[in-house]
This record gives sequence, C-alpha cells and structure tokens, in this order.
Amino acid sequence: MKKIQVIEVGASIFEENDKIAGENRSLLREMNTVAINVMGSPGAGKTSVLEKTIAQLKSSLSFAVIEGDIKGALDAERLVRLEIPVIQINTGGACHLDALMVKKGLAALPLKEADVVFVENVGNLVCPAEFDIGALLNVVIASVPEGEDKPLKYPMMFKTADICILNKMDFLPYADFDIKRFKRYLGEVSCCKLFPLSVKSGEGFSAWIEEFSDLLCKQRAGLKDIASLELKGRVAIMGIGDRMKADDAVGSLVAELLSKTVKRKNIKIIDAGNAVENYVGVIKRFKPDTVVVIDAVDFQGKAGDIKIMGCGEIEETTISTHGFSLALILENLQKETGAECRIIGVQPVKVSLSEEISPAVERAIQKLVKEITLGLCR
Amino acid sequence: MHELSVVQNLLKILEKLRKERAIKSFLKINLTVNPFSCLDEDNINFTFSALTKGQDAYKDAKIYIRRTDNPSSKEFILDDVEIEV
Repeated sequence: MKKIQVIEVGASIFEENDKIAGENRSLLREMNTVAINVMGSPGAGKTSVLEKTIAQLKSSLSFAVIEGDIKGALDAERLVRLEIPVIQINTGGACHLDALMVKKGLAALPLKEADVVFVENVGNLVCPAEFDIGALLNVVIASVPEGEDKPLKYPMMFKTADICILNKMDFLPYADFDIKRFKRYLGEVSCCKLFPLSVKSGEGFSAWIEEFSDLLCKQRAGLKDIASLELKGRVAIMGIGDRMKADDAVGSLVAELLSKTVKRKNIKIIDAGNAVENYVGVIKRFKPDTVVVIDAVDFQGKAGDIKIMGCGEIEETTISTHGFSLALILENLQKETGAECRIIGVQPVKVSLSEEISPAVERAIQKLVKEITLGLCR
Repeated sequence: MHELSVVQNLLKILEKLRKERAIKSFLKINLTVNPFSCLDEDNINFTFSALTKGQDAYKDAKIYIRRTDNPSSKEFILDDVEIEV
C-alpha cells in the first residue's frame, strides 16, 4: 500500500542565487562600489544611456561595466571606447544574468578603482527582474516607441526598479504615447523615481545626471552605514510606528514585511506599533546579541533618508517622532542584555493623521527590507 | 523564458530533500510566487518534465503555483511537497 506524506519545506527557490547575490553585495560594500543593474527591453537605449551618463561623469567618478548579452560584444565594443574597464558576458541563450555570472564578472574587474559598476542585463522585460544579482540599485529603461502600457504588462520589472528612465522623449510628437497614462500605470505597480529624457536630443538628461550624482553620493554613504550593522548571532529587530500617522508607520511596516520574509530561530522580529515599552520584556527574554530598532526619526535629512545611529546619538542630536524616550529604553536594554543597540532612523515627510505613506519613505521601506534581509542572510 | 533556471534551482532543493528523506517519488510540488511574477504553471511543468525525463522519482510529479496577495513580496517559495515514501 502506498504511503503518502506531505513535507513542509518553506525554502526559497532562488536560495542559491540569493546567497551568491549576497556575497556580491558584501564584496561591493567592502570596495565601496555601487553596482547598478540596468534592465529594459532590446532597443530601449540601455547602452546609449550608459554611454552618455559615463561620458558626462567620468571626470569625477570611475566606472566599470559588465555587459550581458546572449551573443556577441557589440555593446561592450561601444563602451570600451570610453576607456573604462568592460567585461562581456555571453549567456549563450539564457535570457538574464544571474548572481554567479555577475560574480565572475566582478572578479575580473578592478573594483578597488571603480566607484560605480553598471551591469547591463540581457534585453528583456521579464526574466532579469526575477534574479537578484547583488546590485544596490535596479534601473529599468523604457522608451516612448515601446508604448505606455509596459508597466502594466511587465509589472514585476517595474516593481523591482528603484529608478525608471523613460528614454526617446524626442519621439513623443510622432508616437501615440500618453505620458500621463504611463505615469499612472507606473504608479499602480511601483514607487520608483521616473526620469523622462532623450539621449539623442539631450532633453531631460541634465536633470538625470544631477539626481543620479546625488543618489550615488547617498547610496555610497548608506553603504558604509548599513555595512556597519553587525547582524550576527541572536538579533532582535523592533519596528516602531503609528499606522494612523502617515510616514510615522515606517518602522512598523518594515517589521511586518520582514516578518514575512525572515523566519529564523535566532531572529526575533517585533512590530511594536507605538508601544515599545510593552516589548522590553519580550526582548530581554530573547537574550539578543544585537537589538535593531527601526523608527521614523526627524534628523533634518531629506525625505526618506536613512541614518543609522547609536543610543547616545539619538538622544544628543535628534528626537524620535514618538513621545517616549527611546534612548532610555535602549540604554536599559543594552545594560540588562549586553546586546549592542542600534537605531535605523528614516526621515519622514509627514506624520499627520493619515494612512498614506510618502513615495520617498515607501522607497526607504523597500530598501530597508531588502538590505536587512540580506544582512541577516550573510 | 526563465523557467529553465527556476526548475534547475527547484530540482537542487528537491534532490537534496529526496536524498535526506529517502523519498521514493514526488507527487505534488506546491510553490508560492509573487503575484507579478511571469511564471506560468503549464510552462514550468513542461520544463520540469523535460528536465526530469527518465527519473522515476519525478515521473508522477506536478507543480502547482499559488500567487500571494502581497505584491511587496519577492519570494518564490517551495512551500511543501506531497511524496510517496
């Protein structure tokens, strides 16, 4: 007689890929290099955007590129003319780059000398979005001739993106393309930042360069910050926030999302709402090595900026948006458990009565969930 | 398009499980994926059959995909498997 059983597994299908992506991310952090995964359909202008961006910024930043194509090296040949290191990866039929391919590419590049590594993925709006390669930022390049419906047809790609460049804006007078509709569709699936521009006419390009330089600066500073978080041993992560007060909910939302993705015995994730004092006992009993608190903190930064602070720092320079003394509670925890306590502060835009989160804070939530999950898996 | 990579990754997990638990054959393989994922159940079963052709442990196996309601999740999770021991 047949004996049938059901076994619960709960494993990520991309476990191995994600592990290597984490290794790539660690290596890049060590080198203080920002890797940017550039995706988009064939012909959207991925290489052209890179050419022009690198040409405009290469006097102040050093670049390297990993080119992913099914076959050939045409794009790599174009980029080599900019006198930067370029590695060509031919996937031989695979429709995307995976973390292992990128790991090999990174090993062949002089990372110590590179501020930015662009990884130009295989032209495709489907598969590249599903594979984490260890990049810090995902950029999707769409273009006017492709039509305004792409965010709705390929939601995963646009959802994954931190930045969307809408290229070939000079085509607008000749194409049946409604930019308002494109923005609406994009907003339905993603909270990424949009840059409409044309490589050919130069329209919108200076705004992109300005924002990109600023973003890069912040990302590199953030790299050092997040890398300084030691998430080893027993880790308690507590998100604080009032769901009824707009961006104030940030910590609570990060905790909720993390609790869905991280399920390990040595990690305790607590959504403390706005009653942190109620969870002090729970954390003490857990006996953590590290306590990480995530909260909306007004540290006079830009909207959605992330700052990592020690207990003393929050007391000296900032105040949390809540009334209780977070610093005192953390100091007490530190004393009684011996754990190291860190605060991840997110600069809120508004903390008025509302359930709506600002786009900049929404992006910070996604970034924190991604980075903390990876930090815990390292 | 990327079903091949997904199935290859899935098979690594299933093979490990088969060896650890002395599994005779797999019957149902239940996956949970992001609602925005382009993974298609028919395509993934087709690729799975092609890659496991001639292997008794997988000849009766069928993959079922459930999509989560949460678009923020990026998971592709192997939830559970129904097996014959």
